[in-house]
Amino acid sequence: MSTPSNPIDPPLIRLEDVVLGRGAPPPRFDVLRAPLLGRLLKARNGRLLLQIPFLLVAVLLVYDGLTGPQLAPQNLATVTVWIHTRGLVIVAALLLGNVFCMGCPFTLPRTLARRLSGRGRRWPRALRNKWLAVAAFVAFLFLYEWLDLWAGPRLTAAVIIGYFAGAFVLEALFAESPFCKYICPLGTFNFVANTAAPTQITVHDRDVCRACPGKECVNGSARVLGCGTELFPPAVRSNLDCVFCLDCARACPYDNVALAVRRPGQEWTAGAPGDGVWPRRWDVSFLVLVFTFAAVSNAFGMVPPFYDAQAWLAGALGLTSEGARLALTFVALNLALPAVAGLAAAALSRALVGRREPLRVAFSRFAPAFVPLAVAIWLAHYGFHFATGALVIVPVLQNFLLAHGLTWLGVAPNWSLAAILPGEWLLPLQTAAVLAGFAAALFAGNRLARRDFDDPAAAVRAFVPWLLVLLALAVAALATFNLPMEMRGLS
Amino acid sequence: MELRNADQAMGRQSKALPAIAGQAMTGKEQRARRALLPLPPLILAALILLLLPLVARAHGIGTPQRLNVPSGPYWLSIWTDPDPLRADQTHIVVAVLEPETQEPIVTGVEVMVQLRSLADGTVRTQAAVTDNTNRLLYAAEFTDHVSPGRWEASVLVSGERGVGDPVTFEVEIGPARRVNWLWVGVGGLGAALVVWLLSAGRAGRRRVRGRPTLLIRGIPVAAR
Repeated sequence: MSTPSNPIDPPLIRLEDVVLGRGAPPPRFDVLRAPLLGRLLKARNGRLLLQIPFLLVAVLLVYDGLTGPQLAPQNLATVTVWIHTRGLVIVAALLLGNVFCMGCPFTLPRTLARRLSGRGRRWPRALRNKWLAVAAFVAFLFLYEWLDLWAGPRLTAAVIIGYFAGAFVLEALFAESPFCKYICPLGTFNFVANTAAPTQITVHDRDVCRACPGKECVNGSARVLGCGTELFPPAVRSNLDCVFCLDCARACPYDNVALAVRRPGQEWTAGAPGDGVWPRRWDVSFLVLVFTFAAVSNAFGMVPPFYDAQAWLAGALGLTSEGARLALTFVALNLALPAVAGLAAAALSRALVGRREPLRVAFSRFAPAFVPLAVAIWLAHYGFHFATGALVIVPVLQNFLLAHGLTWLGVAPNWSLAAILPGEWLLPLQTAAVLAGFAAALFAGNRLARRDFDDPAAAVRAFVPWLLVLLALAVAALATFNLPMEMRGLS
Repeated sequence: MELRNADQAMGRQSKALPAIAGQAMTGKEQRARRALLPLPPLILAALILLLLPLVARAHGIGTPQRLNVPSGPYWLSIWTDPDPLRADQTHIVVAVLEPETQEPIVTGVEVMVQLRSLADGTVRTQAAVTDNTNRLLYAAEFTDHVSPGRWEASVLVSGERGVGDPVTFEVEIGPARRVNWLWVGVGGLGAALVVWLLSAGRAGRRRVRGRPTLLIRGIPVAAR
């Protein structure tokens, strides 16, 4: 397993990209140059305009989570986090970009923490990859199931507090943003999902960056911090690792950084033969596979066969501890299965085309093709919860205000509000989402194969093993969505 | 962050950048493209806005039927799932709360849910058990045990604090789902695969046709 030996630290940026000018193409439309919006986003406190409302919401959620009703559907913390945030994150990724990382309130104490850390310690080199992010992501999904986070307002509040603490401590200890870049499970989710986004950071003129003496976009200036995740805009080819903080744009003395509108998912298939935009790395490719398998397993965790499987495990293995059973299931579904399926597909793909190449290359070639299917499955799942429970926020907020003697939103909660879409529409929409995701995965996989193999027959042979994995995942997702979901009492 | 290496490397680099496809466009085309780019998000946003009027009349899975209703020594909250209820999928979910603290009571109570058909008087009774996915709730499943029509649901809780008063409400149960969306989805996947195979085949043929004929001693040889 190789880690990049890149002299500029961000592992997703390669020096040769900088040298050869292989970042994203110059923008055809730069959001930062749009009237009003561009000025707002680039304003010195532009990010704060988004972060402060998010911070106020977070404080409110912690307060209600700790002191409010402990029934999930009646508490702001559980409803907002597990219905609204999750649903809107994936919708925002598809329509706008990584606005949830942009507005993330957990990084607000960053300035103070950075002052504490100064030019202090660097994040350990051995951890500068996505392995820890994969582990944190799977651990978060496991804790979600094991501790029934969706059902516990106090636990949800504890998660929010933990996030603030974790982000602050890591930011204070290290001179970069390791929490965002290497650990945060939500950030990891956002990074991968936002490779589908229609926007991306790039620059107008790479020559300006070449001649720039200060590289303020990364190094920062007296006025503005540089990029927290240490991305160098002219070399940015992917949304992986970009938190859309726009500090690079604010710091650039030449107004050269752009937030480009692009074709959604452009980065999946871009690049020259044998030299795609995405790095051919075990960790990034495995993260994408885990992201995809977890999309299915997370939905599967809500249907009756999952509980039958748990009961079977208890009987067959004598596992009485629920935590142990769930841990075993999560490791199997979210780590072992993607590893085995990915390695088998890579080995078979390599054997079918008879090309002598490292297994890592064969493993990573088609990883980007999994993203559209994964995003579609997450959308179908989280969109389901959002569509069935989005309006619960109204009576929950009314209830909260009434509990504090405020009648601004009426004198009685309107508990009949729940869904934003008729129930009959949901399964057809979920089916359509999975089909669209599969079609996009097929398209992306086909393009990747044609990019890397001159011979069309070899391109088909190389893709077929991966196609079987994609097909199995799509069928599993469709089967899961067609089963009755166990009610979580959230909507 | 050490950018010295990048600086050095960039210093040696020629100013020429690779040609970008988009740069070959005329100014008019670029302006037209630029004007069209924000359209997809705007259309999606408009669709969302158009759907909002549905909000007022739509219900969804987990429809609240009774919330924080006193029932003897308990408070009950009751939801039905999905919305609309169907003969092939009918769940009734109950939260039992302490009236004083509004904390969920998760042990030491028995929750019975009864459905009585208002058409023919058929009665179905189920003990609601702790819900698999939310252990603060009790769920009773009547899937495939009820027929389409109007039913009266009644929830009765008993436990250490005593027996509560029945909480009743009426529900409409619709017919079982007619379309099997799993097969629709699998059919869609199959169709996508067929399209891909056809396009892959076409691409292969195009490539063979496009190759210059290979001649060996003046005799054309079919391309492999």
